[in-house]
Amino acid sequence: MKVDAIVVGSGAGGGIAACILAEAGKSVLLLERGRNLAHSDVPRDHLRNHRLAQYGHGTGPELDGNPRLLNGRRYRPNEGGYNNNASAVGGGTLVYGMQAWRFHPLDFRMASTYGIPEGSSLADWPISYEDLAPYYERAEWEIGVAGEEPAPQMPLRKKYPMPGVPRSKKAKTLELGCQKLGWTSQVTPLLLNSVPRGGREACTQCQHCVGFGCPPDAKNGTHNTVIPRALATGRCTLMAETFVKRLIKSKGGRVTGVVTVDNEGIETRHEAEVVVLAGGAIETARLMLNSKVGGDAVGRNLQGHYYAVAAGYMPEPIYDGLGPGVSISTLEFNHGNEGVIGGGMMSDDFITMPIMFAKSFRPSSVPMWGQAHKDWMKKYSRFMQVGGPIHEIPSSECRVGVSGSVRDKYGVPVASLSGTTHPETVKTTKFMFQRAKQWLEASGAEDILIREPGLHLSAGQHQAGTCRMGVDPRDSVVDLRCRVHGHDNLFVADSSVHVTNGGFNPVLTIMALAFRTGDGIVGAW
Amino acid sequence: MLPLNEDQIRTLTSAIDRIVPADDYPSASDLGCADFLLVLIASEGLSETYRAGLDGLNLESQKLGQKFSDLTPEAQDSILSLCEKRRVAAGWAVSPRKFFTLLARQTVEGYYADSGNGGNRGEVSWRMVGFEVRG
Ligand SMILES: Cc1cc2nc3c(=O)[nH]c(=O)nc-3n(C[C@H](O)[C@H](O)[C@H](O)COP(=O)(O)OP(=O)(O)OC[C@H]3O[C@@H](n4cnc5c(N)ncnc54)[C@H](O)[C@@H]3O)c2cc1C
Repeated sequence: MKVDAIVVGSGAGGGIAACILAEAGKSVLLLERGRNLAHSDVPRDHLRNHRLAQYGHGTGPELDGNPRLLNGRRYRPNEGGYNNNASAVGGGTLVYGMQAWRFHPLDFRMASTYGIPEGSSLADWPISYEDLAPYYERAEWEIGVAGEEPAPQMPLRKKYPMPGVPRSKKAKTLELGCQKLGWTSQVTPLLLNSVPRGGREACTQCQHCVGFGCPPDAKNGTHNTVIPRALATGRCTLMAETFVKRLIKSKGGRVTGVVTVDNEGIETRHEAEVVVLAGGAIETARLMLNSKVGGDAVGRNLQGHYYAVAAGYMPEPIYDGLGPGVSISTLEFNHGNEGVIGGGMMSDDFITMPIMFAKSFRPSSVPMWGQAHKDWMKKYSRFMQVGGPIHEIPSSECRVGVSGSVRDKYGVPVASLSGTTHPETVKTTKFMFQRAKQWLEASGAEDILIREPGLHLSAGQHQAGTCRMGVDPRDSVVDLRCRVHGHDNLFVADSSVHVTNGGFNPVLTIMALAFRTGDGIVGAW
Repeated sequence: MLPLNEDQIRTLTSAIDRIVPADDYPSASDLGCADFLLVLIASEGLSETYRAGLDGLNLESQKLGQKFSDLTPEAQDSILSLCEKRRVAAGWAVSPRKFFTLLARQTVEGYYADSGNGGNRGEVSWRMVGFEVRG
């Protein structure tokens, strides 16, 4: 049966694209390789989640049969080198941390603002903050953001539909730190029901947010907002546990459909007028490369976020047991930093689970066992960390390819990642580590721990950039409407289209773009 | 079937109680970490490494004429320290340091993770550090 539109992937971007098309009267087939999980199906397992995944992560991709390569080495989905995001209906939004940031207006104009460092592929977006602003607003209202006034560094905007989460004890201390330093701050915006909304409950502050499901279903993702809306039209069919192997092309280059394979290994051809790709930056590029669609730019400019995090201890207990745990941010250093390109937003963090504290924050002076280790663990309630994502300076040599020899359980060549970010990213990260340390010091923390960043490939949960938006098919993959150059009816609606990835968590931008792309497809139909 | 024999389980229990010793709060085995590890060893395919490592600890303790589990805590600590510092003599079927690091890491995982994993009965370690879950 032929449908109007096929959407590949039901994450942040795909869920939104499917909803807009279905609500505009189109028949839609939404194809998702992951399972359709309720929040309660995602276990609250401190050793198997998307922050600590060494033994598994509670969603897809399944650990066996889905490898990727990084610099030629093979990794499973729960290993760092895989650069995973969650695979499930809702994609990353099922388990994400919900931080709901608009990019800064200058994030769209990095090359004009800073120049283009040698060896980098830094570029301006072909669209501006103003172009995206109305769609940011739709994401904030239709997916549902809780928050307060924007920081003074950001343009004014309509207020959010829900009040911000209350400031934690840590945030109140960090606010005093900001005041001491003369830094401005704001309440962290979150895609979370701070009050009941959309027929779902408010957050119970259980602390298991980032990397976990949400038992009260107060976390707002695409799985519990736009995807149900799409299904309610009666025109959208959601097929979970259905993997898209390749695109079908006609002679003239038109994409006429896709080939899927299900858990039993049964292959099916599906035909459509329009195909929208939203498998995430790595898998979308892989699918295009395996289908021989798009030019040489496909898969290039892979980027994510370096993080600069400082951790220390307050003289007195500061843990208050109230999730989500992130409630204060500063935009003081996103731009205008002497001697470095860009910068980044900084926040306090989600509640750090005790085992994460043990694994990630043990100073070298503390042994890994014995009474001294146990005594150090007792400092947990005095622990505090701040930090955030750094605006990366991309390189066209950091890329997704497909392996010539390694295949997944369906026989499809796997993604092969290679290259590194540009050295300027490391420089900016070093600068931001010092700012994070400064913030903690001013807030009264002691024994502050920071790390020395190295040069490596960065993609992971914030992966982006592999189908860059632009006007020239030689160095971009999609046009200003996010349509693949040379293919009338093929669109990309995920993080792949980001030209650069902002100094913020990326999901609200992915959502805004998907609203805009969906509108564009409908408008031109 | 258990991945370890009785002797090895006894050695395991003594060793993990040096990784997280008892003080005002329970030791690793008191909170169920031995059981946690037995499950993990089986599910992660670590039986061979653990068998070799635990037998290695007994090999060292034989030099003092005793089983590892019969040594004083101080003597147990000094053997574990030698492993950590790569100072044990040859004869092990696994790298002593690699084994020790794995044992320490996984014992800590059991002790501080959620009680559903079996190594933090009654969430006692969470009470100790001050982590509290409501709802
Ligand atoms: C633990 C965690 C915390 C996070 N916290 C935040 C945060 O606080 N703020 C923020 O902004 N961002 C956060 N993120 C990142 C955010 O979730 C991602 O940026 C976002 O989900 C990416 O959207 P996307 O549409 O590009 O892809 P995804 O959401 O990854 O969706 C892609 C979907 O496509 C499916 N798929 C892929 N290939 C195929 C195929 N061939 N056939 C069928 N289906 C396919 C995948 O299974 C997946 O479900 C977090 C992510 C994680 C994992």
